[in-house]
Amino acid sequence: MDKEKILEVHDLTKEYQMGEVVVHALRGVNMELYAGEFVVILGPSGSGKSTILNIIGGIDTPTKGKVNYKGTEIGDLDEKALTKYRREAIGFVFQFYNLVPNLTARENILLASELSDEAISVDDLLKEIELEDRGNHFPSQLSGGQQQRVAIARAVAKNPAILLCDEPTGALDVTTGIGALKVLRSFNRNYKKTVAIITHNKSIGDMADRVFYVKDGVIEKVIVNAHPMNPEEVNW
Amino acid sequence: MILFKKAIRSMLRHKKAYISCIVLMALGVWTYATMNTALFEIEKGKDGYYNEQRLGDAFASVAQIPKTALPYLEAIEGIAQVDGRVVETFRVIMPDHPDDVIKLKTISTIMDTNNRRLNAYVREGNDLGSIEDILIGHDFYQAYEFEPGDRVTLIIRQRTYDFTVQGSIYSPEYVYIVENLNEFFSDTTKYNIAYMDEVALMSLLGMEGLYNDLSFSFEEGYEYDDVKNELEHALKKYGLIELYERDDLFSYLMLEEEISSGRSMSTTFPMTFVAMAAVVLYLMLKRIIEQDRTQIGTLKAFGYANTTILYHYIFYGFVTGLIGTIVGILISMASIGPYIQFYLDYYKMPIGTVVTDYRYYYVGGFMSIIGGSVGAYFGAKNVVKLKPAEAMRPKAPRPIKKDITQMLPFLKHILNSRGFMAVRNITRNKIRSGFVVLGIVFSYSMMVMIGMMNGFVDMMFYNQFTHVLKYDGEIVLNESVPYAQGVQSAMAMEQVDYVEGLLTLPVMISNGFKKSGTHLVGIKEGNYLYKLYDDERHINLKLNKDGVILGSILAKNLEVKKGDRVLISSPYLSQDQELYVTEVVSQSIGSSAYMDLSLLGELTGQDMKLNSLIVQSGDMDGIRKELLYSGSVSKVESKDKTLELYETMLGSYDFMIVVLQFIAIIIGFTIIYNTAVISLSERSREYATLRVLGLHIKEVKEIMSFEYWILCFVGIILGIPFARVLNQGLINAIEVDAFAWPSKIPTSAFLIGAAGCMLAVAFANLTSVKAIKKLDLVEVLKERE
Repeated sequence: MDKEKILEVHDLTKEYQMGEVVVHALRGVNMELYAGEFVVILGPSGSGKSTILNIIGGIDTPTKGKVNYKGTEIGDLDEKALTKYRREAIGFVFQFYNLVPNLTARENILLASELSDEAISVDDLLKEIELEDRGNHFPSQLSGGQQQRVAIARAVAKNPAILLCDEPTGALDVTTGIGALKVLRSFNRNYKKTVAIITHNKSIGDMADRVFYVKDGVIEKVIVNAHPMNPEEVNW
Repeated sequence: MILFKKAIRSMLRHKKAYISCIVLMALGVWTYATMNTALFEIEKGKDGYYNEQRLGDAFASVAQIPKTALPYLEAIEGIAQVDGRVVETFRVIMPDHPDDVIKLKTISTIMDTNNRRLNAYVREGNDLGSIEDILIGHDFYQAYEFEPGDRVTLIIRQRTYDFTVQGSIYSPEYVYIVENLNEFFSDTTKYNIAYMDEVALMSLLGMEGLYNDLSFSFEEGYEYDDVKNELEHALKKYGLIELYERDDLFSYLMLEEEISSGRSMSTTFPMTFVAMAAVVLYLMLKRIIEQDRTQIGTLKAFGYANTTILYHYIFYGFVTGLIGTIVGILISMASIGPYIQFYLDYYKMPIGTVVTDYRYYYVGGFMSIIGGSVGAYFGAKNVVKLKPAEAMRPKAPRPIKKDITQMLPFLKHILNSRGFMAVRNITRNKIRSGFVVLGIVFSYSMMVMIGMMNGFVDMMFYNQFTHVLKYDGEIVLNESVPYAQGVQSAMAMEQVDYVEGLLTLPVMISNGFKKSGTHLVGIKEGNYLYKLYDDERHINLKLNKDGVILGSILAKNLEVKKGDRVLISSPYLSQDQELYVTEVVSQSIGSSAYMDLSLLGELTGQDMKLNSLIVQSGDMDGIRKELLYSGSVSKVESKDKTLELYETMLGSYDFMIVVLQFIAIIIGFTIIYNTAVISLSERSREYATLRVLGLHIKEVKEIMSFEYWILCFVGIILGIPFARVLNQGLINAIEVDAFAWPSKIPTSAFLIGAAGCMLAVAFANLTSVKAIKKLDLVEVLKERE
């Protein structure tokens, strides 16, 4: 692959102490992400895929191993620098949207764009997610699919290099799920953002450039898709 | 049992919030039990003491009245008993305190205790046994470490006499002792009372068979107003100086005021603390119910009854109230003794053994437990309505009503999205925001009033010592002397730089049926050392030869204003005089009347005289030493020494203010902190999202602190009129003539209140930073909304 490597994960290990039992969530994960690619991390519940995403996103720390973002070791960063990293490099999309209920759709996006000097226009984003006419609605006045699209727009608004999506379609039905994936694909293509989706839905893997299969805390295999499908072509 | 465990564990998890509720509950129980027990004991002690010692129903001062006239007074309808005394104040020579002017107000009594009708309570030592014996005020006795048999020297009519101290006494007429009504503090080491044999005192003063002070007891069913006119008429020929009922006896009035203000505080204070804790519990329980929604559904699905679940949540409030009660009672038990002693340091009376009155503990505990349970009930009552299936689903979002930005469109131009979050948090949590504002209003107005007490006392003394009393000291004479002679004698002293004279006479001023005994101060025209400074208008008033100037407290009591006419009577005046009130001077201390000295001279039918000299001098000590044993001088007072005394007295007062301020800040902090904790737990998901988005801890904290600063600001704004209402209530409640509570609240008090509230908000914000730091982003975001 002739693309720029923006993030590299090396020998990532994560252990949790659950009472008297030590849970090995990750057991030496190695992977890399390239600029502008669309990857899917697939695996069953408890396989460790969310842990990978959280560590890459700087909201969790590994027990061992390294995460290198454009030459910077994430593990070496203090709290302040880690926040700066999240602010500038990472956009998060959550399964349950996590929109701020007291802010309208527009304001939720604005909340993120205010953090960046290179923010993407809120109007452009609302247009992109086809919610120009609902910008002044509060989350409770939007459907689940609309809320997830706002959440994606909010993640993109800061113009981060990587978009990390934790089960973005997990709480959505097929139609709205496809809608959300289309938005993600569009951002990936139009804004050249790296998008990493974690899911247990194998079908979504069909639209990825690469698919990482995670099982029992290790990457079992990596599949490269020569011809990624469009979201509407994915057979759920 | 399992639910019990669940409740205890849940409370332990949020222990800080519950502890602050417990603190409020404990404050409520403590203040209720302690104040009420103390007041009950003092009231009981006071009533018993007054009855036992037969405190009179009315009193009179006269120039002289023969013993033989008393049966005629007793013949007046409604008068049951008249007792005559000789009352005179004497200087005391204390060899270890040669520079101090120490005085004993000496009251005659008869040695035969079986026939003694007016009692004094012998606190220590023995009763009078011979004409050479004397009993002295208990704290004076203690302060100078007297023992029975010790000798004390009094200066009587310019001669010294030694008496044998037999013991110490309390008198029901002097539970609070001040030399004159213009004195704010009681210094019982410099001025106290003494009892002496009647025959001895009459003989020493050359008043054989004569009294100058009377005490009246009324027949049952009669009141002061029934006998006043006839008594006044009867006493006039004996040179009536003052006639007043028991309610106007300064010492009685002070204690009654203390008890009555204590009574109102002993209910309002505790109720406020408990009510605040109850509201905090209500908000906390409301939040817990939302958090436990799924658990509640599960319990219901298992078959737990609605009432069982409801009781489970009421238990949170019950336990909080119960622990608050226990803590409050323990503190109360430990502090009741010192608290009563605090009263007894001011009010000199015997009080029996303090019996723990469990009634107040029961009521306080009941109030706290019921308050906690009711707060919890209202927070949890919706649990009954929740259907199991509904409970296991996330709560439906609340419908959006009109948005604040639609009502206030300008906000869009001044706030960023984080600012909107804060503003909308306020408008969408109206009960909580309202409660925070209410808490701040209460806390703020309390701090303003406390700040005002501080500022008022400072202002009172500042004005008195800088604007009114321009002199360095005062030489009070035993008798009045011609003005020129008095001034020349003083000027002859090398320590005196400049001198002016005053003539102060006791008078009765009347406006119809309203009468008030006071001092009429004659001031020479163009005087420099004694100014009539108006505290409210901040100006000096000029004397007018056409009438009299009244102090504002006196004018209020007499219900007169500028331009009205008042009648002035005194045995020192040649006849009663009706005069115009030319001005009412606003004064914080004292309740005197003022007049041009030459006019007063005319009214006395003599030439211009003086009975005190006010001097400018750099050596007041020298003057005091020179005049200490002069027969014509009653006392020499240095302004600096008086100021020093006030400052010492104010030490304990300042401590009380600091304690009250601390309590006010605690209340503010508890409310703000608890609501902040609730708010934080409600919005942990929101804040975690913001952290993941890349907001620094400080930036997230700013959303919360912005919200609380807005509420604090609103609370302070609303607190200003509330403080004014409280102040007006205080003005109406204070009836002591010695000082007037100001109607204007100084800016400094408002600033102190604001600073206190801001401190509480800053503290709460500081603790919220810790909570934001502790947010587990992964865990919080994993939870379903």
